[in-house]
Amino acid sequence: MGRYVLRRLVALIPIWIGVSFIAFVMVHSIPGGPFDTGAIRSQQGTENLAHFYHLDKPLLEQYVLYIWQVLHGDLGQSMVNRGLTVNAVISGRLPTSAELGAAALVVALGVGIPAGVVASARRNRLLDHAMMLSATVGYAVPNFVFALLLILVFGLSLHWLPLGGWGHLNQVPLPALALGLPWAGLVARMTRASMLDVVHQDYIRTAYAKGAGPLTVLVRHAFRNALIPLSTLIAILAAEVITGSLIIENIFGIPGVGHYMVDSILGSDYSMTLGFIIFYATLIFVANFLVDLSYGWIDPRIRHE
Amino acid sequence: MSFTRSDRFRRFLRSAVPVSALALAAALVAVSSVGNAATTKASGTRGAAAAGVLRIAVTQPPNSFDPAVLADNRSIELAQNVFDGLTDVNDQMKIVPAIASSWKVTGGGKVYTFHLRHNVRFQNGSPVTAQDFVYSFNRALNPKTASPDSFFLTDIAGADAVNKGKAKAASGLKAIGKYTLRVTLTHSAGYFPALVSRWPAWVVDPSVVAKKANWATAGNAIGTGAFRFTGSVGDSQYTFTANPSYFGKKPKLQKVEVTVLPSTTAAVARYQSGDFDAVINLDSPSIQVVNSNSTLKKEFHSRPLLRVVWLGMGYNKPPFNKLNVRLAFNHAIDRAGLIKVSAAGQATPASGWLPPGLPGSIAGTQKPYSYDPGLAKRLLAQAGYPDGKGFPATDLYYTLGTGEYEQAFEFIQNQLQQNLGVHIGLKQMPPNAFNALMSNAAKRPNFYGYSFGLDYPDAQEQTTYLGITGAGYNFENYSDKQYDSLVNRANASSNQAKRAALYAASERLRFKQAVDVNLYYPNTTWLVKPYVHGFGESPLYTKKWLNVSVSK
Repeated sequence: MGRYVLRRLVALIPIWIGVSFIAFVMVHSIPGGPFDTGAIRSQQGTENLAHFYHLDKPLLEQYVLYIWQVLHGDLGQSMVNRGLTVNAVISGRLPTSAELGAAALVVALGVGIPAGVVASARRNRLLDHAMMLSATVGYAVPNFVFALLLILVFGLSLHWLPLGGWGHLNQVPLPALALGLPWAGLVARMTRASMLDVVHQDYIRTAYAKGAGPLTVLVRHAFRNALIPLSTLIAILAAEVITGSLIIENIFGIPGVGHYMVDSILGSDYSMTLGFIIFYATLIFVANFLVDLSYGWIDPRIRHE
Repeated sequence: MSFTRSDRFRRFLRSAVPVSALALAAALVAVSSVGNAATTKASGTRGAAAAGVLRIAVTQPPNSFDPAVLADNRSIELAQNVFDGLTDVNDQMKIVPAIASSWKVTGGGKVYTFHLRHNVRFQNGSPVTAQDFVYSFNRALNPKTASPDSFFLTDIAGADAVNKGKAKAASGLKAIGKYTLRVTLTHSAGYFPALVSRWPAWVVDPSVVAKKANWATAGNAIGTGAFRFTGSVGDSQYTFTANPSYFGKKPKLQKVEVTVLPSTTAAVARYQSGDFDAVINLDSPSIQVVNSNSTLKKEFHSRPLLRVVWLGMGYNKPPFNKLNVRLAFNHAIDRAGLIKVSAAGQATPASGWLPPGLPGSIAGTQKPYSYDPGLAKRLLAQAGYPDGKGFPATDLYYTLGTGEYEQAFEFIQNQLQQNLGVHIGLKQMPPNAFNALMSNAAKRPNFYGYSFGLDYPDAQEQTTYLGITGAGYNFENYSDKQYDSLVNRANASSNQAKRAALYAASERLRFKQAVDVNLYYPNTTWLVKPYVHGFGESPLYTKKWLNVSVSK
């Protein structure tokens, strides 16, 4: 097991290099560099800027310099906002994105799991069809559409909740719902499928044979087992809600990581964009890694040797 | 971890799952009850502005507070309250004394002697001397500082060598005693007092800068201004506190809080609920929101900026090398209609290339080319393209950065089709890609939409960097000896009235030759509560906060 973990962690290095190389080639192939802002500048002023950020060096050398920095724990410095480092942006803004992500996760699971369980218990009845239809629609509707609808209803019409910002508890529900509800649709569908899988197992029949009531069987026997496959989904969802909050952060004015990354790409801020991509790649890698590990814990038949 | 424990883990998981499901449900209830509690909270904070505090919402964070490094409008608007230069620009766009109480021009316009006030102190208490200016100027020029706007100072003798890394100090900078600064230029330049009012020339404290590379942060960005930069939350909130030892008159505000939001639509909504006292630079959708609300309408203000939006045409390349084609395009576009459709009415039809309010602009006296489709058609026919027949395939390149509107270009495409029978393709590009294409002389498009806003209120900037033969940003490749001579003479003179007359002459020539299709001068817009006095925008940036007060 220890060897397995070590092997996976070592595999992170080629992933970093691969991801950063592809990203490096891509950001540099976008026409327009970080200094093409349209502002008037002298030739010498532009050369001084390029030299300051090593942009006057050959591309490969720039890349090697960058990777060397990353290996020293420095994800780079912004080429647009002088003095701002990727590390500072991430450490300053990740807690916000993580808070939003956690709240959205609560929504996704808190709405999705009960809905899935109820739908499975009422399989092929009207309630089941209604719930699964809303789950499908919910998953298909982009989160920014939800965001705007929520703003219209709870912010502008009812004046119950503030329209944006971050820092007060009352600013949490709208973005959390907007980000979490589409995932709740997916969770509901997965819960229902997993429940239906379980209710056909022998031990459920045994439970009924013992004389247990339908509610007891559903909650104590079926529900618990059905949730085991779902636990693997949670880690992936956690990474998804943090990396997927770009637009939601923009709409609600939440100072998280996603908001910044969009600006970096639009402004051809090479080092900033690369730093974010490496960070996100690591986040998703870690989430998948945890999922792999949890498979082994939950089902001993899966071996990581 | 060995797998023999996994059974125990599974058992744990089985018991844990219902517990965590319960916890989730409880959390959900908690979130929704917070939602209910928020009802009272949101209405409770409404209009709760503290006395002497101004709360402004903006849409872009500043990129730096280091005068030698900052380069975007937001940084300038905020940092101008923290730092000062030798001179300043007042709200009427006149150059006025700041740290220098007076200056003298000698040596045929090449030598500027600035006399500094004796009572100016940095916000840490150190007195400001002429030597601090010598240090600040050389620092901005030093290639290690990599200042984007170091060219503001390269008219100083020896400055080029410093900027190239070949010298440590410019020979043209001399501190004479503690309070006199003598600046020698390489050539006479009547716009120099305007240049030293700008950020690369703001004075910084050598002992503060020497402390660390990234010094210009909250609490450390020490200037001489009426406000101190005292706090920031990431790049979403900035706090400024009045500087009681400011050398000028005392600020009326105690504190200014600037909040960065991603869009003005969100800012306007929160302004309505009392979270902010002012919102600046509203976008088109926000202006429509304002227009549909009678209270907001009363609190809405706008004024022209020192900015112009125009269509550029390759001056020496067919089909635009013919005067009649350029005139036809000028007469074919309904500028008033365009503004109504695309700029929510927030712009003025353009005649001259230099925007109004700038000495030398002819916008106040010269009417725009008339909207006359019949005349436009005849002019195009005279140029050899009757009803647009034989007009070469042309694309209009543009980006949406500052002051341009998507609908404007669709409107123009439509008008040229209807009025001239000319079909123009539209090529919208991302800002950085567009700017890179424009600076590539070989690939530069023949027809493009462009916008330019001045950094300082002197026609020298626009005419010299965008107008004269061979200028780096003269994307039309316009070249005219008479024009060049008028601009060069205006640049060199120290007589401001004579300079304005010369620039005006250059403008009339440019207008007669129909070098550009000048479209409009965009407005800057803002919302401010009635209890705030003295707040607003100048033609360049937001006015300084020195004269702002809150009566509440």
